[in-house]
Amino acid sequence: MSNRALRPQGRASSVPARVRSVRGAEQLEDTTLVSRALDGDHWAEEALYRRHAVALLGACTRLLRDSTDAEDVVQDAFVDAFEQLRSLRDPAQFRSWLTGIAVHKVHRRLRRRKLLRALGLWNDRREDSLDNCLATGISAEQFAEIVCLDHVLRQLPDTERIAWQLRYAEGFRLEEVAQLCSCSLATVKRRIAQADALVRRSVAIEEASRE
Amino acid sequence: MNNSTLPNPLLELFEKCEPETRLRRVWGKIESRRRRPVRVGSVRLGLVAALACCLVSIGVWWLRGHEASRSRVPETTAIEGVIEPGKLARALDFGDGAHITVGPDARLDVLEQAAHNVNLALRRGLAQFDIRPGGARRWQIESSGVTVEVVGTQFSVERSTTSVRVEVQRGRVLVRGAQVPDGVQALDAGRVLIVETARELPASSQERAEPATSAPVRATADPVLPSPRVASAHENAPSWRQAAAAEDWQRAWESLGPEGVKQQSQEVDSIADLFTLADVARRSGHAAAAVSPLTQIVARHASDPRAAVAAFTLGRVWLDAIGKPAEAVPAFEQALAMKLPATLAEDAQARLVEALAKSGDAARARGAADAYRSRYPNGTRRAAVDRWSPPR
Repeated sequence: MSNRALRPQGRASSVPARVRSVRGAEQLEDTTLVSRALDGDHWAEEALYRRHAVALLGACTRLLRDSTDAEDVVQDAFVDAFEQLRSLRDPAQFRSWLTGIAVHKVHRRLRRRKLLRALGLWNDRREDSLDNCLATGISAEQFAEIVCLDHVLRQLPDTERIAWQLRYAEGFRLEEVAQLCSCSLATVKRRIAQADALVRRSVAIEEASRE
Repeated sequence: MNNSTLPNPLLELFEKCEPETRLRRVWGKIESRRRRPVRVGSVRLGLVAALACCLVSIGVWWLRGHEASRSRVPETTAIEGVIEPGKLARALDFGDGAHITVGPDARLDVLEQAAHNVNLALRRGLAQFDIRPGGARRWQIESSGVTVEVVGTQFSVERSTTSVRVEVQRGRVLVRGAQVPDGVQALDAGRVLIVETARELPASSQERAEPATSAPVRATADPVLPSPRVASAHENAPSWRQAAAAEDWQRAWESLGPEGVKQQSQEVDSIADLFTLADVARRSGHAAAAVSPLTQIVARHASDPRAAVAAFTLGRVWLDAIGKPAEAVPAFEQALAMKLPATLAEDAQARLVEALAKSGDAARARGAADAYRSRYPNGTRRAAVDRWSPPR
């Protein structure tokens, strides 16, 4: 077989190859990736997943206290997000929209867990504690405080705990928390205030910056 | 208690990386689900499956609700466990969710089993009880003149030739009997009461019993067990003793003052007094103050069998209440070296793994975890140990 037979057919065979730099996913905005995903670009979907999955997995693990459940929720959230991508009005808001879907699923999981608990089919010992999610290298004092915080958070109703964690653990603004929890700003403020009163009795946390 | 302030938001304290394998696994599932076409047939199948699940759930719920009146164990059945040494094997399930396991050579007779009460007699050996809280029946276990009453809890009763040992893992039980101090004692989770049975107690042992007590209670294996006999021996004692005897821990703490427990720990010599001081500190919500009396017990009464339990409790205080796992490590090691009672030794070994892992000593945590797994291959703390130090 001759070398010629291996060459691609057409004009490219006689034109010297040009190397063109391709922009990586990190250089593209969510808007662009969403737009490309809407056009059926599978690579853009994976780029969106890669960009947001780590934070979402972390947040869901902390909210659900169960890494397996968190994986399921993240999986469901991305599947729903990609299937309903056309309903996203502002592609720049992909992250908060996706987180909202995940938080909704977290609520559902927790409700189901409550039912299982009532039926005696759920063991609370399965639940992980917050200190399992900590990064290496934090001080012993902070570790102790997180353990203490974990004990307090376990006593809170799920709605209050989720609102508080989204605000103080995940760092969302109050308006964003309201949007993620699908309730009014006043409701979210009330839930966070109720949880905060209990938390601050046991744990010292820096004051929130004024919004 | 430390004065560290947590950052706001806490996000910076949490792990920010996810293992690539986890990310790929989740993405793989997302991709496979997106490729799978959703057919009407599968939706119908899902609905049918959901309906079937609902029916099964309702059935299970209905059965569970009606099980209390059922009797799976015939009345007056004698249960004799024939099992491997040191391993609970024979299990017995009751209709209301109660679960009983009997140890090697144990014999447990079901004297009475009715709609509102169950009466059992432990003739010999060890039996572990797990009674579901809120049940309709009152459980009563009798053993050599000692009666344990329970509504919902987890505990064990062990009868030997010379004593009856009651240990509570969860909940609360009442222990009654002529040999029990004041005729009745309430035991909370984590506490042990050993009652020497007078009939079989040698005369010399009775003479060795502490003069403070008229009842032949030999040892309180856990320091949180209140000791009424101590109070009766000190009628003119300071008010903290009276308050502690009445289990008014807050008043006892206030009587002692902030440094009182520490000061008294240096002054008193009796192991029972030191345990009472530790009780006052722990039960009044000042667990850190319990370190001093517990340390004194371990240091000054090392030959006393109760010192091992004090060391174990000290480890728990450092680990759980104060949050200093590095300090808890030597305490647990000492407790294990001092021949801790078998029922607590497993827990101590598991907590040693946790303390080592939390203090960042992964290599020693692995060693301790291996030791746990070899000693207790089916241990109740196996999952926790595997979490702190996964098997190699």
